[in-house]
Amino acid sequence: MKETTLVQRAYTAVLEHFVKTGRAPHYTELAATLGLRPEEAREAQRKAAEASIACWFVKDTDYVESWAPFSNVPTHYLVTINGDPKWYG
Amino acid sequence: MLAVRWLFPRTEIRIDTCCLDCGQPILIRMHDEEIFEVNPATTVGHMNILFAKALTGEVTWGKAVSRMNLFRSEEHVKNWSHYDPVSAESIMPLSNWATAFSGPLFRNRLEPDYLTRVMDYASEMLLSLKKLGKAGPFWIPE
Repeated sequence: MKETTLVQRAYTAVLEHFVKTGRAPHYTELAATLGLRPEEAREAQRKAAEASIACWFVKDTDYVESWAPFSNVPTHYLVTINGDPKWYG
Repeated sequence: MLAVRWLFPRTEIRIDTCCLDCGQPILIRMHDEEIFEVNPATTVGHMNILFAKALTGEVTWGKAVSRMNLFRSEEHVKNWSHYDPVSAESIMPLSNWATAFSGPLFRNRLEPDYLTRVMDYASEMLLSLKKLGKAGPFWIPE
């Protein structure tokens, strides 16, 4: 698969995971979603963050901290959708 | 967080937050294009760091985004213990921030070619800010 396509798919998959669950996937979950080996998913996720705006990781880790417009850590911006308060902005 | 609405079309979004100055609640309810409740009505958005610095990478997005907040009024922003007067021009009513966060940079995140277009979309956001009268060095990299 072309790298730009893979990176785009990783970006979209993380965002869709947020929309569905309220949190980011770990890269091993992303690997399962995209049919990749874990290390391939980790690299694709990192490149997706670098190629986008306002997506980053917890310092010195591979854990997503923010994937705009969502936060993967609790903030003082609680987002409720259809009565379900499970997202943070 | 105002851009969350573009990912949940035809759905009511509610944001509960609190003012960093006084700790009192702020409520926003929105639905696609419409923001139909802001409580209190005097609520403003503010960015306590030069937006231009985030665009150039001089500061991280983490630092920039965490300094983008809502307050119950302009007076509350200026009373906030961390308020930087340099950031005064970023104090805007929620409706202006909603306009700034309504371009393709925010609406098109689920498009299959988003990443190849993201910088063009960012340029469009700067044009949107210019239309709001926000074209100075606080916003646009020199």
